[in-house]
Amino acid sequence: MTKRHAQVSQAPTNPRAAGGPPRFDVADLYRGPLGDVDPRPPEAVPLDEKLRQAYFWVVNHAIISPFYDLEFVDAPPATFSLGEHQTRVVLPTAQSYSSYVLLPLLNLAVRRRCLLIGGPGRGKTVIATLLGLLAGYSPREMKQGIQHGQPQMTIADLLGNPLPSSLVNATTMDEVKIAWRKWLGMRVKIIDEYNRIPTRTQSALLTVMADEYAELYDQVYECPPAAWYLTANDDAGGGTYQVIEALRDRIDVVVKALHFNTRFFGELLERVESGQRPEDLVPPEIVFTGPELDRMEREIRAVHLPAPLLRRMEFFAAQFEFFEPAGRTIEYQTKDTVKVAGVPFETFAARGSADDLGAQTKNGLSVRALTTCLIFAKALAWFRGSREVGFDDVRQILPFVLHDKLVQQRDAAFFDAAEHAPYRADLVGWIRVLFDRACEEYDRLGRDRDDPVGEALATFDRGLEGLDAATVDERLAGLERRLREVEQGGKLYGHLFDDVLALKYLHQRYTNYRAWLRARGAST
Amino acid sequence: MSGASTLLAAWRDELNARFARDGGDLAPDAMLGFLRRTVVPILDGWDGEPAPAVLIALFELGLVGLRTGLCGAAEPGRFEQALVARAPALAPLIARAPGLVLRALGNGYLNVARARGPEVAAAWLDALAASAARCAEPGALLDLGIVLGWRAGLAEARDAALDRIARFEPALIAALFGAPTIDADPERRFCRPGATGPLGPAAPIATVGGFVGFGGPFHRPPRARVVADRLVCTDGDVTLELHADVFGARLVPAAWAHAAAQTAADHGTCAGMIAATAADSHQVLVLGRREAGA
Repeated sequence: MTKRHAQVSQAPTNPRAAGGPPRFDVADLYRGPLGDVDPRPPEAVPLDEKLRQAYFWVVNHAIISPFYDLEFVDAPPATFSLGEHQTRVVLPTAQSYSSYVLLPLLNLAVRRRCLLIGGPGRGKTVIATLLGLLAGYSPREMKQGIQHGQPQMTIADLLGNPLPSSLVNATTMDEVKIAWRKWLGMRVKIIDEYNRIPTRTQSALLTVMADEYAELYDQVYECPPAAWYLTANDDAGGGTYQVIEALRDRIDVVVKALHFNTRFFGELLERVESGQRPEDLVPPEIVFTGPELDRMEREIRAVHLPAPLLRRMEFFAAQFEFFEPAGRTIEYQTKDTVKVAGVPFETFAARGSADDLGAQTKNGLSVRALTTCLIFAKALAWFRGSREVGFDDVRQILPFVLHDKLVQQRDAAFFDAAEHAPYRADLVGWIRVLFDRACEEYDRLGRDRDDPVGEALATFDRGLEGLDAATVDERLAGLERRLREVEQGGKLYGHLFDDVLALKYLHQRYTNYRAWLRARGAST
Repeated sequence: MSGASTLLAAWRDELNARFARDGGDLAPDAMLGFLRRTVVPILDGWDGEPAPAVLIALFELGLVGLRTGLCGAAEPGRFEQALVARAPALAPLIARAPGLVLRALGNGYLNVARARGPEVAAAWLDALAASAARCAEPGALLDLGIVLGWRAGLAEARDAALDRIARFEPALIAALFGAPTIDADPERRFCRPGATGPLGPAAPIATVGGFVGFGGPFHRPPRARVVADRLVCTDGDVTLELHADVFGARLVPAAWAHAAAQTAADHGTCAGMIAATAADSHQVLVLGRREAGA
C-alpha cells in the first residue's frame, strides 16, 4: 500500500464510455510513470472533476476510510450472504464511495450543515479541517477558526467582544464597536463538540447557523454563505448539554464515523513514521477558490430532477406525517398535531401494521428536510458527473439526510420481526429499507402510469381561464369520484392522506371558481 | 545553512519515511546522489525560500525517476542536467503547482524520448524552459509543451497543437516557428510554417512501419485504408493510424479502427497524406505535397 501524498488522481476520475474514434489526447504527452497530469488549466477542469479529485486525494492520502457504503451498480453485482443473519454483502460494479468522506465534501459544495458523529479519535475534526483547507484556508487559519465547544463557552467567546474603548465612550448602542470573531467570516465553519456548548450560547449559535448573522450590542455581522461542520461524540445529542431542538433541526446531513478496520493498521504505522499530517500536504490543484465554490453551488442547483423521480420521492415523503388517531379533522390527523399538543406519542398505543411505513416514525418530514433531500440528491448526481438526478442518487443520499429527521417509533410492529430488530440501531439501513418499500408500493400501485390525483393537479395547473361551468362540474364530479374510491379502499395510508387533502384542495378551488362563474353569469 | 539544507533538515523525517515506504529496492546512495546533484542545486538556486511542496515534489520525482531511468543512478541523466540548468526559468511555474509541473516535465521528457530519442527530448525540455517566461500559469506551460512536442515530431499531436497555437500570441508563434501564423489546412500539412506559395507535386516525405523482427509493428505487409475519415494501415493483426506532417510521420496504435479496417477497401489517401504500401514490403511510404520549389 504505497502512497504519494501529493498525487492527485488523474482525470477522468469517473470515466464513462465516449462515442466515436479517439483523437490524440493531449494528456498522453504527460502520462507516465511519474503520475498522470491533467493538462487542462485549473479553470478548465470541470468542478465536478476537481471535487472527485479532492475526494480521491482525501480517501487515498488523508483519511483512512476503506469503506464503500454509498454503493452504485451498473451491472448485476456479485452478492454474498454472510453470518448468522445472512447479511447481504454487495460488490458494487460502478464507482462507489465512502459516506464519511463524500458527504462532508458534498456539504462543502452545497454549503449546508453537516454533523459528524462518532467516538473520539475517529478523525471527525481532521476531515472538517481538511475541508477548510480545500476551501483555500491555511492550517493556521483553520486552527484559529475552529470553535471548540466547552461548558464555559460564552456568547462573547463565540461571537466577539465590544471594544473596551468604544464601550466606555459610547453614548448610544450604535457607537459600540464589536471585535467580531474571525471565524464568522469564513466560508467553512467548524464547531467541535457542539453538544458541550451551554444552552444560551447554543441559541446564539443557532442565529448564526440558521440566519447567517451574529448580533451583539445591537450590532449585526452578516456572515457569508458557509459550509458548516459540527462534531459530536454522541449520536443521541447528549454531551454536557442537551442540544436545543431548533439547532438539531438545522443540521442537514449526518455522517457517522465508521470503525477503524484493523487490516489498515499498517497505514497508521506509516503516519506515525512520517511524522507529517495530511493537513500539511493538501495539493494546490484540489483547493477551491471562493468563486469556484460559488459556481459549484450554482451548477448543483441546476442539475435536473426528472418528474417521475420527483413523484417517487413525493410518494416516499408522504408516508410519514399522517397519524389517524391524532384528530377527528382530517387536516389535523398528523404527528405534528400530537407533538404540538405535547401529548406523549405512546399515549395513542397505535403500533400500526408491519407494512405501514408511517407507523415506524414519530414524525413526518419538514419542508427543510425535503429541501435538503433535493439539494443533496442533486449534489450526488453532479459529483458523479451527471447533470440529471438518478434513482440511485436519491436512494443512496436519503439515509444521511433523514438520519436526524425521521424519529424512529421503536415500538412499531415492524421492529418486532427478528430480521428487522437491528434497524432500531442501524438508521441508515432502516431509512434505505423505508425508501425501498415505498418504491415497491409505488410500483405495485403503478403510479408511474396511473396517478389520477397527479393528473388532476396537472390539469388544474393548466389554469382555469376560459373554463365553462359544465367542464368545472365534470371535474368536480371526477374529484368526488376519486374520493369515493379512497373511501371504499378502507384503511388510509400516508400517501392517500396527502391525496385526499390535495383532492379537497382542488375541489375547493374549482368550487370557488364555479361560484365566481355563477356570480358573473347572474350579473351579466 | 543554505535554503536546501534548511528545508531538508526540517523535512528529514518525512522524506526518510517516504523513502522507507515507497523506495522499494532503490539504493539509498542513488537517492542521496539525486538529492545532492539535482535537488540541492535547484533549491539553492531558488529565488526566495522554496516551499516544502517543491522539495516533496522533487523527492517524488527522484523516487520514480531513479527506477524508470529518467534520473541516473550514479551520474545525472540527460533530463536531470536539463532540469537543473533550466530550473531558474521554470521555478515560478514549479512554485505554482510543484507536483503537476514536475510530473509533466518528467513524463513529457520520457514520452518524447520514447518517440524521438533522448536528444530530441532534451531539446524539447530546453525549448520549453526557454519560453517558460511567456507562460502565466502552469496550464500555459503544458500547452506550450504540446506545441513543442508536435514540433519535435509527435505528429499525432497536430490537431491539439493547432488548437493551442490559435490562442498563442503571434510573437510566441514566431519565436517557435519562425512565422507569425501556422496554416492549419490539412492539404498544406507538409509545407514549412509561413510558406504561402502554391503546392508542388506529391513527393516522398518519410517511411514508417517495418517488420516486427526489425523493430517495426507489422507481421505482414500492411495495407492502407480509410476508417472514419482517418488514414490507417493494417496487416490484419494490428492496425495503426498514420499521422504525418512537416514535423514528422508516426504510426500510432488504433485498436478502435481494427475491425472496420479489415473490411474497408484499400485506399491510401486522406487529408493531404498519401500512404503507399507494397505487397512485398512491411514499410509504408508517406507522400505529400510541399510548397512548390521546397
